[in-house]
Amino acid sequence: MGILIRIFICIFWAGLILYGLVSHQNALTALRLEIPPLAKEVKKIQEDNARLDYEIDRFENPIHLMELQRQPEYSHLKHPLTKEIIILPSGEGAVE
Amino acid sequence: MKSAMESSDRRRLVFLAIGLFVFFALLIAQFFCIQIVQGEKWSRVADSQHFFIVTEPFQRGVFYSNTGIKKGHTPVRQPLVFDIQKFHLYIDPQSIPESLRGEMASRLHGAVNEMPGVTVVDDFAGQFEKKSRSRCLAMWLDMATRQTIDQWWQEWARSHKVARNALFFVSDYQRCHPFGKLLGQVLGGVRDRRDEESGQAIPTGGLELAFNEHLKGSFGKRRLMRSPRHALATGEVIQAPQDGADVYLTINHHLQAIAEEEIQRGVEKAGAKGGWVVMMEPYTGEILALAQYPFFDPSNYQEYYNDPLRAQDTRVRAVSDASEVGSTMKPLTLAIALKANEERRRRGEEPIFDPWEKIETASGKFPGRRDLTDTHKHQYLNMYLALQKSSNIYMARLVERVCNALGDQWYRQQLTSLFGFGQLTGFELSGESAGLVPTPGKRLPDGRMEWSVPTPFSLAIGYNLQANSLQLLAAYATLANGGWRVRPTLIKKIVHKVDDTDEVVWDNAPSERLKSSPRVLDPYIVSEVVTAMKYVMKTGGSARRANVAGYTEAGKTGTVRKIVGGQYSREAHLAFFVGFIPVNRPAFVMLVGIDEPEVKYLPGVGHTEHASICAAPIFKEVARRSLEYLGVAPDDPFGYPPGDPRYDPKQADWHEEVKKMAEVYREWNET
Repeated sequence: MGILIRIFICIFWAGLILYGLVSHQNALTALRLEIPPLAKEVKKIQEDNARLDYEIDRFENPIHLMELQRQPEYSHLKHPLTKEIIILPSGEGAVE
Repeated sequence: MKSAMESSDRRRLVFLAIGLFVFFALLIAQFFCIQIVQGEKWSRVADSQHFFIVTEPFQRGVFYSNTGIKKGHTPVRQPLVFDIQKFHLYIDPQSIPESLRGEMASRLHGAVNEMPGVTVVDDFAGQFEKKSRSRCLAMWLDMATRQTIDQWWQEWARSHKVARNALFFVSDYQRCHPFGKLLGQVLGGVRDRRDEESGQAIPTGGLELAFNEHLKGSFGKRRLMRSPRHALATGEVIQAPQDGADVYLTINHHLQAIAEEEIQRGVEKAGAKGGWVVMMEPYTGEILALAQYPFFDPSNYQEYYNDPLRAQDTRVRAVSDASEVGSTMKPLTLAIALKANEERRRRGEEPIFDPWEKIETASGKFPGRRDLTDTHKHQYLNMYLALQKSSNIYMARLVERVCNALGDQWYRQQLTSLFGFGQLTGFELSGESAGLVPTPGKRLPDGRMEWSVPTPFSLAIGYNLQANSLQLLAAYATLANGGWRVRPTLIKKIVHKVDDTDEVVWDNAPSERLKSSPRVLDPYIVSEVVTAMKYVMKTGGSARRANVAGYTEAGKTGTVRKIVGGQYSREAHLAFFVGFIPVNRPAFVMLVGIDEPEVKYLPGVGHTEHASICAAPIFKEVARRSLEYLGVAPDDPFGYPPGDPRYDPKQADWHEEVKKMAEVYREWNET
């Protein structure tokens, strides 16, 4: 009788471990299944970013910016003289 | 009896055993043959059934603007071209039932026709009748259009029971210019269709052509599993796509935009055929702007190349066109004459002239040619007055002395070795014209000598030689930077991105390049010539219209008659202005060229074809706006026009000097 119980307990633990392994593999497989659509989405976002950068640059076309500069509402904007620019070395006096 | 039966049973058993043994041996041998001997072959067959190879597109290299030019501003990467993902629309005509082709063609044509940026093939409906599995209907659809068509197609294919893959999209990258026509001739473009064999873009000209080997990339290959519903992985990368190398230019897009705006305005005002502006950093030779009007839009290259007249607008005239340079040669003539003085002193002989020497300029008689004349008659001039008044006779007199003292060969050698005339600059754009400096002893095709007795007198005033704008600009850069010869360049560096790290393929850093740039003029010579050029920009000079208020500048105008039908034309001219600003530590040296300005006389203004009227004002406006953009402070804070509250003649730069020189002129010429 004792042997039977021991065999039963061994089989039970073996089953539990096997179940855990299979469950882990299932989780990994589920993650692997998610990778291709995510990769596709990342690629799509990268392409969208490139397209948006292009659209932004079209708006920030220097010719367009010069036209805007001539408008009265932007006439106060001026390019600073280089002698008016103070360059601070990085790392000194930085506030955390 | 019993033993006989047992013996026959045993025999049958043996035969059966042998038979079974042979059968299984054959099986094992077959397994061995399939699994081991032909293992690789069957693995390949299995792979081809389970996996397929997809080609991954690459991106062509990008051109970047020079944004580090403004001191104190953090440089940012500013691309001048983008590769944007677009899609080509394809059909499989064989999969489409004949009865449905008409409706499908009509619906698709309506979806893509007249869409901006989309190229629709000719004979749209005819593509459906071709005996082919793949016909292109339209190119360069954006993502939104693709999704619209795809949505319609899924529904329509299902309802009409047409195979879904009868319509498909091919992904591609289109070369897009966010700034439109900006820098069009220099950048060039690529054709709509790629090379069918290699899949590479085909450049049409400009830097796209010159650096095509660097800009090209290579396709990648990825192995994907044929899975009906899900792929368990994104696939195995067999070969990663390799993007092309990026090219960092010396051109700044803001300065380029300023130059383009002003050259268009100037050409239209002058009623000219065209014009160009080139700006160069005088210490490094880096080209900051290269503008040409009429413009060239690389996105619409077909409109230009299909029209022989418009095709001329695609080449960079500052590089490809060499012409006589006229009076813009005169400062260089003075430099050669002062160098002759140096040479004479080195030989222990008397110099050939003194800059303050009073030289007679009433007579324009020179051996071997008809009399030279000046625009106004002057009795006597010195070096400074001669440049201010742009005297042909004075320059010819100087060169006469140079040739008499040192010989024609010595004079010719200065033109080539000091300023590089007659030689290629090595500029990165193709099609550069080397120009021409006549050679003593060489014959022309018609038998006449290239260099004859009057040749030096013509060379002195910028005739009888051919130079392109880059050569002339580089020569003036030598005067601007204190006497160093520099080589014009468009490229800062070329960088290849390999596995997220930047590998510099070509570093055109000034520190390396300038090691081979010799000093060709002494600081004294440069100082004297620049002093003379400053007089040109003030009252009494031909280039006062190029004077930028608040700044010191130096320059020279030049108006040349073009040769039409073998003769100098009175109707066709080239007008140049070359100058630099500010005089001490110039921010840039600039050349303005106007092709065939309208010939007319305006009372109170003058002849509109003269460079002083049509080219000099363009220099002024480009320089003013560029200095403002660069943040260069005015170095002549009192040098403003009369009436301006900042104007103070007592403190304005060069005001007293100009007054004194005017007195000298009056004393020599009007008493």
